[in-house]
Amino acid sequence: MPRIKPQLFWQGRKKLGLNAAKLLPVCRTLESTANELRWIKQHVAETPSIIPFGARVWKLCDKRGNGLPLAYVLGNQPFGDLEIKCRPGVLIPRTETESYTIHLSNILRRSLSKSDPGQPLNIIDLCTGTGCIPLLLYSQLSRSLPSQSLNVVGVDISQKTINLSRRNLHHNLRADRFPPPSTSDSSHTQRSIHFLKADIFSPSSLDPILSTTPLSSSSTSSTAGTGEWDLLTSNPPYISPSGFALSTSRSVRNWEPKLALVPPVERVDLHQKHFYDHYYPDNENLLRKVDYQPEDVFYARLLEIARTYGPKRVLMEVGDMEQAKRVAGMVLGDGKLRRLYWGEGTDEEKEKGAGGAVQIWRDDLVGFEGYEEVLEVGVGGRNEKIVVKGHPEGHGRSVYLRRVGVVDHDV
Amino acid sequence: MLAAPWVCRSCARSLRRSGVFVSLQLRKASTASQTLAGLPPVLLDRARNLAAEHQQLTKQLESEYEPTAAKRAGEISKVVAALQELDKAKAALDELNGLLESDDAELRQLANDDLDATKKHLETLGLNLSATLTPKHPFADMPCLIELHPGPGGTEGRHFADTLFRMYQKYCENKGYSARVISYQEAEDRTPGLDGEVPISEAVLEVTDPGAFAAFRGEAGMHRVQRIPATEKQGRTHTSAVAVWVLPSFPENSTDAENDFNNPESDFYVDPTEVKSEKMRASGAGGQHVNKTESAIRLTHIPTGIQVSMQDSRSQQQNRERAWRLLRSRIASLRREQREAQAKDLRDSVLSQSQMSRGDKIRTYNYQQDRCTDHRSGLDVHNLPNVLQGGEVLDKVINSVQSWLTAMDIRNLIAQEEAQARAAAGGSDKKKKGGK
Repeated sequence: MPRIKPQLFWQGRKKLGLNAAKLLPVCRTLESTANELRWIKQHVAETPSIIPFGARVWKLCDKRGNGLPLAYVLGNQPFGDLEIKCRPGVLIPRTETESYTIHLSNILRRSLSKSDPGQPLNIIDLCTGTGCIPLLLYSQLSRSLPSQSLNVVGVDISQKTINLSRRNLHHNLRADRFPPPSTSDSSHTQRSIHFLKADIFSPSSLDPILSTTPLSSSSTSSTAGTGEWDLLTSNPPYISPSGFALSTSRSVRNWEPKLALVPPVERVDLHQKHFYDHYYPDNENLLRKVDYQPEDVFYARLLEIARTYGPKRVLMEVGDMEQAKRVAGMVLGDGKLRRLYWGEGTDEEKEKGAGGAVQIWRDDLVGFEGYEEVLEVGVGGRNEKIVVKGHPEGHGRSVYLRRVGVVDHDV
Repeated sequence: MLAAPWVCRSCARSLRRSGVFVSLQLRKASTASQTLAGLPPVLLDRARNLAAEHQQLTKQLESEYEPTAAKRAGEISKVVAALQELDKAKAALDELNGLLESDDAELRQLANDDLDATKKHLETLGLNLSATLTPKHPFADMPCLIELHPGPGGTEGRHFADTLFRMYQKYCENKGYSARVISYQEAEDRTPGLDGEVPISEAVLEVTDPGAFAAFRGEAGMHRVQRIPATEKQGRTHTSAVAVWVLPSFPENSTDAENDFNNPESDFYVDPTEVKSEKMRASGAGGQHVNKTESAIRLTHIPTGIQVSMQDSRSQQQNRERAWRLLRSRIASLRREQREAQAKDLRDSVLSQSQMSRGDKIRTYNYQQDRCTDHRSGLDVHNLPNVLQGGEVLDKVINSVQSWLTAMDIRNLIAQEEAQARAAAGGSDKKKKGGK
């Protein structure tokens, strides 16, 4: 990291005051220092306290100057039009996640308003963290489609994050940012949002959630359980141990939970040995067959879930284009997943838009929906053409799967 | 050939004859010159033409219904109604004038009493007619963005920009408009000004009520301030300026197809491939690897070179939305200006220098004399603190500008009609020549 010129400290002190000198080592530029100082001051001004204004600002700047991420210092992070509370121990929502979640909700909104409106919508988010993805999807969809039945579930392994995501739900409900879930049988539309604790590598804890929760069009509230999942999203840990040491920024490495960033490989191996023979006796499960890299463990498991339950759409966040290609390769390399999400070379079906899709989305989708390119991904000696969407300068950010027969009405 | 709209002289003459001198003291630019006596012949001709067209259309509609004709008839029915009222009033006036010349003294007295009232009535009717004839500004029903940019001249202009910003905020509060701050950027140099002013480098205020654009469009231009700045040590008066831009803003959830920004025909349409978006995507892996707080967005519209940057919010998504909004508004406004410039070329032969562009000085705030002058309507008001608090005195100024704008629109319309008529006459002359 280049040295910060002493001159900058002088300028910062002169223009922005003493607090700037605290923030400058972390913010590194005057512009960003001015912004962060403004946000800290705004935060202090908005939250009443008996401690004097200046002292509180000074204290928060001190914390921030030690490298604590701003979202932890202020206790929240804007996400879409929501305010998500953040606590140490839970991953801070990223802008990239925000961007594709908004794009996803736009796709769902357009597709649903054109197809059967009575069909309930079931969404599940695995490794939910603060609950930002399910909350934003719930918020966007319940406001744009007020008569749509909606069932949103967030799953995470850590009790701390589940508590926080429930707090986030109530915090945003109190601020009236979206309509409350309706539980009464009398109302025509059912809306629910839940956060549940489960280990996605343990079929005994995850399977009950996946197999019983969905609403179906025929079921009433008492007999839920025969519908399909319309969307499976996940932002799993995807950084390799070496990447964690080399390419993460210091404030991530020092302050954010490693559990949410780096897949714990040893634990997964253990699961593999003890449980998979019992739960997946057909010996066809991906975790054994595909030769995946350690940081892709979660994708193998997520795809296994997709294989078993066949959700209509799947969206998984990935670290970069290389990882995106590997995940796409995993989908196309597996016979059943390929049948589900790729179809078998029927160009005619593809033209109708119903032929299934395996796509890679870059950062910056919103506003740049028109950008599209085709990338070749090698799968078992063959090259398959994968569509990449988003602004060409963006990093590969997520892999999107759409089941054969499902139509997206996007822009 | 039709007479040029030199209405003021005839207006003045007729008023002088009837002994009313008040109107003479009004400025040239005010609407008073557009009264019935001064209601220009072109405008009347146009009204009569429209009335004839309306008659024809109704006849046509009686026999066969056609949506386009019905729409057109509906559009011009207002003009026809106003014209009929005017004609009625004029007949009444003629009658009164006739009575004035009668021998009966009592009758003369009665007529004299009525005369003033009738004339006033006629005036308002005339104004009505011209208002119905004036084309409505295409963005009139929209919300607006008010952008403040301090002019060159250092801290003083930046301080005053803050005062203007607060003035508009308070004015919106007083008038019951809902305003929200889109962007408020403090300048780097932070010397405090008079009354706790903070120097700002740019500020954008959005007034979300529909019709706000029509209410505020007269505010666009250079606002000049004359005062002794807080930073001045020798007590000299400085003059600086703040540019105010008023842009139509795209309503958030509108179903209007014409103004849908996805519609390439719309002024608000911006082709995303023509926009360069800069942000911190240059280095690093992004995603879970980093948790940066830089949320600034800069958009550049390549064909026009318009640049918008936004960094107020912590949410990049919000900054991006606001930046796109501002970009759309600026582009729409630019396109509108270009069209206006074309129309201006057409009528330049008849009328000049009526178009107020961004660069002209429109208003002066003088602290020493406790005075605020609008250079277009010519209105001079005192009680500057009330103006800066967005009180009723500012309302008075803004209203005077509104009526000036209406008068200007009407004059422009007439000039345009005249230019068209002339062009048509020229065309027919040529045709005749060609025939020979």
